[in-house]
Formats: sequence, structure tokens, C-alpha cells
Amino acid sequence: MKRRLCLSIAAVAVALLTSASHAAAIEPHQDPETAPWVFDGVSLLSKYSEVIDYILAGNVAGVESLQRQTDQANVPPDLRETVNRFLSSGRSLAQLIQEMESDTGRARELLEQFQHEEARASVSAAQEKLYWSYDVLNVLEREAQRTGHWWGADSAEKEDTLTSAYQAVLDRLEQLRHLLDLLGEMLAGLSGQVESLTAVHSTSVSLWVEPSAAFVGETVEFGGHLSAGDKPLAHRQVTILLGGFPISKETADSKGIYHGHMTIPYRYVPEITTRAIYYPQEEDVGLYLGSASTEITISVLYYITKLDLQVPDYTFPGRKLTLNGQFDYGNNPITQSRTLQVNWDEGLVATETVPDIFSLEIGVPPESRLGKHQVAVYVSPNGRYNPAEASSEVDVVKLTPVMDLSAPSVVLLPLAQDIHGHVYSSLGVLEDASVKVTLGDWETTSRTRSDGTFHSRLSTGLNLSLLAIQELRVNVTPKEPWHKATSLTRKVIMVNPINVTGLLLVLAVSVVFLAGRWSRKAASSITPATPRPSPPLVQKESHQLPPEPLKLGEQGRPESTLVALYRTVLKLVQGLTAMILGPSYTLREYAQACAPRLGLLAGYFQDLTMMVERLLYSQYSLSQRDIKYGRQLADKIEEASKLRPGMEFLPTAQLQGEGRGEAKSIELASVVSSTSWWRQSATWLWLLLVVTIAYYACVLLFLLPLVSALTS
Amino acid sequence: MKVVRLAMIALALVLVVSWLSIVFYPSAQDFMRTNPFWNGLRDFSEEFKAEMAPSLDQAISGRGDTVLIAIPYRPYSDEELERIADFVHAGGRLLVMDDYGFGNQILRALELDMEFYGKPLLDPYITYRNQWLPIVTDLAPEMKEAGIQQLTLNHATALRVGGSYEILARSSDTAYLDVNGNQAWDEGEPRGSLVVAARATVGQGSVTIVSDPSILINSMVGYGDNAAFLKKVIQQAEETPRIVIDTSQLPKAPLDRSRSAWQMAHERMASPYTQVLLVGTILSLTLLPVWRKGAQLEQE
Repeated sequence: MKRRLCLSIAAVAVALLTSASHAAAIEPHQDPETAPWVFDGVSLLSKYSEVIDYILAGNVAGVESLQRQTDQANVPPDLRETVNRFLSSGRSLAQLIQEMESDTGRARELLEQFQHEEARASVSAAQEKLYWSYDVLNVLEREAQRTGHWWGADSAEKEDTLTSAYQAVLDRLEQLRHLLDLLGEMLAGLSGQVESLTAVHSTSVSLWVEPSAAFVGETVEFGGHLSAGDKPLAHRQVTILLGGFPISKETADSKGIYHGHMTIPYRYVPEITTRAIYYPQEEDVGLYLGSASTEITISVLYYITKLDLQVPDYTFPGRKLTLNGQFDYGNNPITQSRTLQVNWDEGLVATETVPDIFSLEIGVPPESRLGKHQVAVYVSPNGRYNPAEASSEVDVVKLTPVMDLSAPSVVLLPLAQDIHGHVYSSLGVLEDASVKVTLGDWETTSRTRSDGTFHSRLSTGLNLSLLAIQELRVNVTPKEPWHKATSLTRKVIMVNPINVTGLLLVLAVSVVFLAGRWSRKAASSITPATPRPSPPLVQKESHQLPPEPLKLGEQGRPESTLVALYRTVLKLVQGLTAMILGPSYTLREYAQACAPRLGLLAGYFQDLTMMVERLLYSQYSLSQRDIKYGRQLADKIEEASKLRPGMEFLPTAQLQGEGRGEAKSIELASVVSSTSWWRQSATWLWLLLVVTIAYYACVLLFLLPLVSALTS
Repeated sequence: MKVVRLAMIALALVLVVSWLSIVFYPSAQDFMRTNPFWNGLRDFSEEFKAEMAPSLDQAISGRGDTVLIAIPYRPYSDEELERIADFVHAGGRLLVMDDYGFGNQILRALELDMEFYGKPLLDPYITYRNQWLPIVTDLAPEMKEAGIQQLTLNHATALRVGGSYEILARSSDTAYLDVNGNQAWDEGEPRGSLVVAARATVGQGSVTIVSDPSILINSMVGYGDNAAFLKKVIQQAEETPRIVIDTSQLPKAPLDRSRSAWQMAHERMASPYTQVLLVGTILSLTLLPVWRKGAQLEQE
């Protein structure tokens, strides 16, 4: 026993261990509130390197994007301030480097044009930014060292990914310092070049423009004077800039005067600047400085175009969307037509030429997802008319079709059922839509016709149900993308007449069987009991007197009382046993003959008979005690007879008021028996049977017609 | 006899306590509606009025505007996959949420050029608490216009997207797939901006694929804009569809299986025929001793 127990424990332990080894799958999730905090120094230091790379490239936007990203980064709280300072300093330094590069580039251009004053200003500005850059770089280095120290990367003995990442940051910071040094050297060189120009003769150039306001596409006249000190600079070229771009070169005459015409470009901006620039060429290099005129602003005129666009709030996939619009030119003249480009979610869907009031249809893509979409209209410029654009949101929805259904409300199995219907919507009928009809485990499919109607024939079969309320479902899947799939359900009553008939047959057989059993029980309940042996009769001496009919004694005497009792009991016994006291019987013989049918009452009847025989055939005088005993015997027989079945021989009068149906106990040979009606099993079986039949009768006779009337 | 009686009483007590536990004790299993703890779905079910369907048939039967949420931690049968495909083609909307389960079965059945990698998506930098809880901020314009700025995932994976489908969300550039399970990036492991949510149109319906079902659980649905993202994905064009979660492929603890069995039995017992049978049986059992005693007396 002990050995078996040990083996069982060992087997269970092995099973547990082996089952545990199978649980190697990835956990689906962890509790975020109790999840451990794990920070990664390598990724943080890698981001530092990335920031420095953006700084080296002068990419301010790149640094800004990293700054935004770090707002969601998993950074130790102690380091958050350090990281923020590093990133903001990085952004500042990137901005400074970008500006310095712009300044040095401009300074070079101005030096090439011999504009030494402007070049000097650019170089000075760049130099100032360089001084700031060194300060910011110091901050970057300090925060980087602080970060490396927090992670222990600066004191690690062996090289790992963390120390490598930290070293990469330090290397990049070194490169950044080297870049600033180079920028400083370049600025020093430029500054020297600027100073070397101060010994050359200065020049001046003037510019006038007429008119000062013009429409786009119109020509304006310009002119000016080029001189070096008091002397005109003749036959030198002057470059004319418009909007910052050179548009022409004019040559000054002998008096240093130049003039020409320029066309206002089709740039629909309120104003545009122009200036004239002289820079020395060929033999003038090293002799004269370049110069530029003051900037002149020309007002640009054009017709302002406004577009008022009306787009419906919603549309359907695969359908046409109508855009209504109107151009508003204010007090300006109206042009005949404009060219539109229509975009659906940033994709070009139409290009049309339209009048000032227009209505345009575009097709909504059938595969458009449901929800908000952007419709944008762009109007191309047209001469003096500027471009315009308008946009609006439109909701793409699907229409739920309406279904009219004609289906039976009662289904008899296994008959096939015809279901008719019509599916339509405000946009038309549903043609060639898929229709699926389902009832319990049975289903059928069909398609709608060109007029949106359909006819389905649903074949059923037999099952184990008797009577059930089932759901008839009709699902319609449309072909058109603008319609939703729809379904309709209806409750139907499924009747299985074969099963119902079978059940009724079973019930009928049960009824017959029970009834037969009950009647057999009733017959066998009157069982002959073992007759009690009668006490020996009191015999008259020497001869046996023939039985004499009962004599009624004088009333009031004990003998007459006993006889009266015996008469009453005799009637009861005759009713119970169906045996008449004939002349061939003596009283005793009659009592013995009745004994089998009286059962346990036989003893009482025999006692009473013997008392009466004694009275009749002997000189025995009855005492009151005898009368009392006889009355008891009669009472007992009378009581017992009331509870016995087969009372048909008893007169009705005797049964009235005898409390028939009340529970009474009869002491019979010390056995107590309770035979009330509600304790009899047959009663409950009958009740169950009646309830079951009533239930089905109600359903079939009342419920079905009512439901049919309601649903029809 | 005393021992037998004691054993019967003990058995009855055990049955009663078991039944009370089955009916009233809350589940602690993942993704269970009655689970009020961090890994249950009670909050999502209540907020979105989602139904739990114990079988696929029950999930996809019913109203036409049904959104079926599938979390396939166990494989579907071929027949079930076919029914899912029919459901979507007929206009139904499907939300497949999977990380390390059998979501690729559904994608193949729908003939989508997409698959779940099935390996952990870890992000050591843009994450909440540790790299298993990556934060996603690269969302589609329609999400950002709806005010959804970030998602917080929990033991997610990523999607390989082959065709031209609508990408809804991507991980940050510091995220990677831990193919070899060493929780560190190694050469060759996919890294960078990986797709975590996408959408595709299939027939008359649509499928949204999310590579992390854990954003549904009680502790995650309130993080970041997870709830707003789910609402955006489930409810289109201001409608209120019927939301059903198919729980047939979720792992269940013995308590949950018992509860499901009890619910099924409860539903069966509610039918009139069963009630008549029960009443008849109870009556018969109750009256059997009386019947036997009467018969005994009659024999005497």
C-alpha cells in the first residue's frame, strides 16, 4: 500500500513538472500598473547621437521631431531635466549653425558683388552667432556627460553596448566642436576679404519705376543713374532684380543713365520689390566697389477670385456627387470660364472648365470607406484672375434598403415553404442581390429580379420538435456598393404533425393502460380476508332446532334492540357481499358464507350473529353489556362499510350525511391505514394526464389560430 | 449509515458551494467579460455594450450591422473560417485582434496579403515602463483628425503588409521584432516603423487588423487614446452597431467552462418542454415513496 502511494505521488509530480515545461508560450500581456520600470541607456544615448547628427547637418526640423518624440520616451525621472536641456540646446545649436551658414553664404555673394558694407554686416552677424554656438556646445557636452555618468557609462571597466553608445556621443560632440572651429576660420577669412575691399572706389546706382502699381502681365518702365563719386560710370552694366531674381541687364549711356521696361510676373501677391545692382567686371575689378539701389516696391494688381462651394453633407459609394459652386469677383469683371481641378481625399478625380455659376458631378469611388472624406476644388489662375480653392467634408454612408416580406406564420413540417419579398430603397430597387432564407437548420438562397422582388422556396424536414416558435431570417446582400446588407426576422410557429400525432397516440395508450389497471385494482381491492374462527355457538341440549325467522321482541327490550341492530347490519352486509340471506341458510351459515367477502369485518359479523343466535335459540338473557357490545359491533361494521368501494347496493339515504370522502382511520387488527384521495398515486397520474392534454389542446385550438390571426 | 449520511451531506455541501462559485465568483481568466481584474473585458463590454458569444454561429447570427471581434488564441476549423469569410463578404465588419495566436488563418481565409509576425514587438525607448509596452504615435491622418494621438500596446506583435491596404498605425523607429526572444535587437531582426494596425475592404464588408488584443483589457483600454481608437475602428459614420466578441477561441479556465456549461443548461431548462419534463420528474420522485407505501399497504 505504501509502495503504491509513493509511486502515485511520484507519477503526479512528474506529470506536473512536464506540464509546467510546456508553458513556454509568450505571455499575452502584463499588468501595466505593476509592470517593472526598465530604462534603456543605449537607446537614449543613440538618440543623443541622432540629435548631434541633425545638428551637424543644420537640420532644425529633425532635432524638433526628436524633441517631440522624447515627450513619450521612457526616460528615468532623474534624467528628464537633463534630457530636455540637451535637446533644447541641440535645437538652438542647429538653428545657430543653419543661420551661420546662411550668413557666410550671403557674405560670399556680396563680396563677389563688391558690396563690402553688406558683406561686413553679414560676417559680423555670423561671428556673433559663432560665439553663442560655443556656449551652447558647452551645455551639450555637460548634459551628455551627466547622462553618461548616470548610466555609469563613463566609469565602466569593460566595453559594452552602453559604453560604445556613450563614446559615440562624445565622438560626435568632438566633431561638432571641430565644425565650429572650421566656421570660425572661414569667417576670419571672409572678414579679411571684406577689409581688403576698403581701398577701392565706391559707386552708387539709383532706380526709378513708373508706374508704381500695375496689373500682372503689364509692363512698367524703369530707369536710373550709375556714378562713382561725382563722375558718371558710362557703358557699365546694371542688373535689375525683380522679386529678388535678376530679370534684365541694362547698359548705362555716356552720362551713366540707363532705362528699360519690365513685365510684372503672374505672381498674385499684393506687391513686389525691385532694385538695381552694379558690380564691377573685367577692368573695373579692384578699381570700383559694387553698389545697389534702394529697394522699390511695386503694387501688384489682379482680380481677386472667391469660390463658394456647396457640397452635400453625405453621399454614397459608387454614386455621383454633385458639387455646386459660384465664383465671386466682387466689383471686378466676370470672366467667362475657369478651369477647376477636383480632388477626392488628395487624389485628382476631375478637371473641368466651368462658368461662373456651375454644377459639377463627380463619381464617388465604390470602394470608399464609410466616414468623412475631403473634397477639394482648386481653380487655376487665368490672366488677371488669381487662383482660388475651396474644400469641404462629405460623409460617405450606405443606404439601408427596405424589405417587404410575405412569409407564412405557421410552418408544417416537412412541407416546403414559399417566401416572397421585395427589396428597395430611395435610390431604386435591389437587382440581382443575394437572398438567404434561414429557418432553424434549413436554409435556401436565391437572387432578386430586375424589379427587386424575389421568391424563395424553403425545403424543411422532420426533426424531434413537436411545436416550436422559430425565427425565420431573410438576409439580403446587395450588389450595389451604396446599399447595406439587410436582414429581416419573423417569428413563425413550426408544427410537427407527425410527432404530435405520435405523442397523442402514446397518451391514448397510457390512458387505456391506466384505466385498465385501475379497474383491476378496484376489483382486487375486495379481497376475501381470512375468516376469523367463529366461537362455538351456544347449543340447546340434545336437539338442533331448525332456524326460525327472527322475531321482533317488544320494543325497548334488549332483545329487540339487538335484533334491530342485526337487521341493520344484515342489510349492510347484503349490500357489501351481494349475498341474500335465504331460507336455506342459518344465520351462522350465512355469516360463514359472507366471511370471505367481508374480509376483516367477518369477525364482527360472526360475533353479532352468534349473539343473535344465542338470543333466538337459547334461554340466554341479554344484559346491557351485551347490548352495548352488540352496538359496538354494529357501529364498526357500519363505519367500515362506508369506506369500502362498491357501495351500489346500499340505499342512497343511508349514504347521505355519512361523511363520505373524509379521512377516517379504522383500527383493523392493529394496522392503521390512510387511503385519502390526494395520497393515491393514480390521482396524480390522472392529473398529469389531464394537464398535458389540456396544454396541447389549448395550443392547438386557441394559440395557433390567434397567432395566425395576428400575423396575417 | 452514519458515515453514508455524513458523506451525502458533505457531497451536497460541495455541490452547493461549487454551484455558488460558478454562478457568482468573478472570473480571473484573460479576456473574460465577468473578469473585473486588470486582464478582463468588463470595462470594454460595459462601455461599448459588447456581447460575448460562446460560439461563432451565435456571434454572426442576428442583426445585419454586426461588428465581430475575433481574438483567435485557438485555431478555427475550415468550416468556421468559411463562415467568417461569408460574413465579411456579405457586408459584415470584422476586427481581428491577435498577437501570438492564430490570426493568420483568418487573413488567409480572406485572401489578404497580410500576416501577423507572431513575435514580440519591443520598443526600448518610446514605451511605457518597459519595452513590452510600446507607445505608438505614428497614426493615420483620419485618426489624428479624430483626436487620437497615441496608442499604448501591451505585448504586441507587428503586421507584414504586402498589398495596398490602409495603414492605421505604425510603431516608432526605435521598435523592433524580437525574433530570437533574447529581448535585445540583433542584426537581421526587423526594426523601425512597423505596421501595427491596418484596414482592408473585402467584398461588401471590411476587416480591421490590430496586432495586439490587449488594448481591450480593463487595465489598457483607458491608456492613451486606446478607447478612442477602438471606437473609431468599430463605429463608422456615427452609427451604433451590434458589437460581438467571439469567445469560442479564447482559452478558458475550468471556472469559465463550468459557467458556460451552466448558462447553456440554464437556457435549455428555460424551454417549456424541459420544464414540463422537470416538473413531471420532480413530482414522480416526490410521490414515489408515497406510491410505494400505498402499494405496500394495499398488499397487506
